Amino acid sequence: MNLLERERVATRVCFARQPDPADLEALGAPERWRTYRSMVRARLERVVSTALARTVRQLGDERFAAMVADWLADAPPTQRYFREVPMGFLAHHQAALDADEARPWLGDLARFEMLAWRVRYADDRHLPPVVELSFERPIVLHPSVELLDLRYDVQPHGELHHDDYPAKALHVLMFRDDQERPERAAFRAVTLILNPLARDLVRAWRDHPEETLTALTQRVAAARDTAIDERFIEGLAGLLEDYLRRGVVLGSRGA
Amino acid sequence: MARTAIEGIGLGFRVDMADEFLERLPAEVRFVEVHPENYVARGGLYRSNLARAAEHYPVLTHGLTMCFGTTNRFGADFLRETGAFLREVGTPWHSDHLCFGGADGLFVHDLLPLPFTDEAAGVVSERLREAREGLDLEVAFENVSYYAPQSDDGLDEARFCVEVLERSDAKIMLDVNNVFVNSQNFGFDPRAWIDLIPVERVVQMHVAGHLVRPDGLRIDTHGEPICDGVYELLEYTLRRTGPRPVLLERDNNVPSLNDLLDEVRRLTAIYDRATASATASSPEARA
Repeated sequence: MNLLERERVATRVCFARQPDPADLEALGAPERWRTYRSMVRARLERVVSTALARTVRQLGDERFAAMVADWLADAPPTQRYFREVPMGFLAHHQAALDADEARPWLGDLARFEMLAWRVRYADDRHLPPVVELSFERPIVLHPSVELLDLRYDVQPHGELHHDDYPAKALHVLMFRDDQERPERAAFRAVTLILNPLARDLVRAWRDHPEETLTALTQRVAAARDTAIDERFIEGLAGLLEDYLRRGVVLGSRGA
Repeated sequence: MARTAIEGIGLGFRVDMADEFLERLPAEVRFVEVHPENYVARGGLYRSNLARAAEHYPVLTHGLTMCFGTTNRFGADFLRETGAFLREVGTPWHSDHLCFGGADGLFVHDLLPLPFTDEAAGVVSERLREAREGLDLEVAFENVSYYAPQSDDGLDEARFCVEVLERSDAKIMLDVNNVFVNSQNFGFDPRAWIDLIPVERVVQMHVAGHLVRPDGLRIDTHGEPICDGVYELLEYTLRRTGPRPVLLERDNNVPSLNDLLDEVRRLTAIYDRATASATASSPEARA
């Protein structure tokens, strides 16, 4: 067996639902290769259960173990960075979680946890030059800002684990708060709930980083058939002030 | 950043102990080591911790996924991003493992053992050259713990390492714990293993604790205190090599920082004793 074949056989032994005895024999020392298989699977399972702790608790040990086995056999990890491995697991199982009739909120719970996991380590090293906020320049959001629409309120609300979540449509903005705050350590994922207008504004700001704040605001207002009147401007000013204070908005893009 | 020679005992910089470590900045620790895969294309806590540590300690890098025995070439993007990170932290070399870690773009995220064959030595040498060119930096491989006996048609592990060193002109990041673990699992003399490695190729060493299973198999867990056998083998090795940076790895069951620093101090005593002896007996010292 050449080296490439050996790599393929060993990888198969690690990921198959049950290792093929012929593969184990080909590698030699079958029991030792079962040890490798156990170590590989335990490590991968551990990172998923860390990223999706609340979801995994709801699934229970048996169902989670079966889902891990399916994932590894059918869509094994292609992620080089270990922190990205849980995304592969969820991508493989998201549809099944969304279709869970007994716990219809399970898909949203997993989506919410995965977003918090990603937001915490979002790359922030390629920011454009930032100046004081101006309506005549593009707005700069914190690079971790993500939006998510939920059908169920799966926020922890102070308690990590719940056994049920109410049906409630929510527009969520999640970002990483890099500042030390009295109520929390730095670099935590923070969740804000947006109304539909704020959701559309943030989405426009995020998706069109070349356009000015004025142009994007006018476009969103027009699309929603909303007049830019005194009340609108006061609301927008309050939103921007709040986001600047929280670190969701960093300022405007410099030259 | 230009660095003076890195010597003494370092500590694997892990998020579990970062807060207390950065608060105390222990002088016993002479350098830190990080895994680039945990920092590349990442912001937040890890990056912030590393920036703070780098203000006070030299940083060495040790990869987790290059796995120099892989038959696939490394991706250009991966080499470029990793190389940029290595330059940013100013490491004088980058090490990764003498193993393979998957196939056809799949990652097992563990260190699978290479056969000690001529073909494998060729593949590893090619990957080492590719890494050195792509990263524009000296590269070193780490000898790994392995648990499956290799077939009889190849070299033994130490001679395989020497063969790779000669073919690739690379360096070795000598993991003393792994030599000890393999010697116990497969019944060879660890000192004879060390004796075969050309000292001028050794750029750094690792030490760690390992688990002894009920069936006697030793597993390189990085989750236990260092055992006496590893301390003794480290002293023997340092007497041969002279001063080289020695890293204490602890990734699981991470104890209090005080306990880690106790191990660092014991390692420092061994390091000082062994390297003083090595220097005194070297031809340069006698001249």
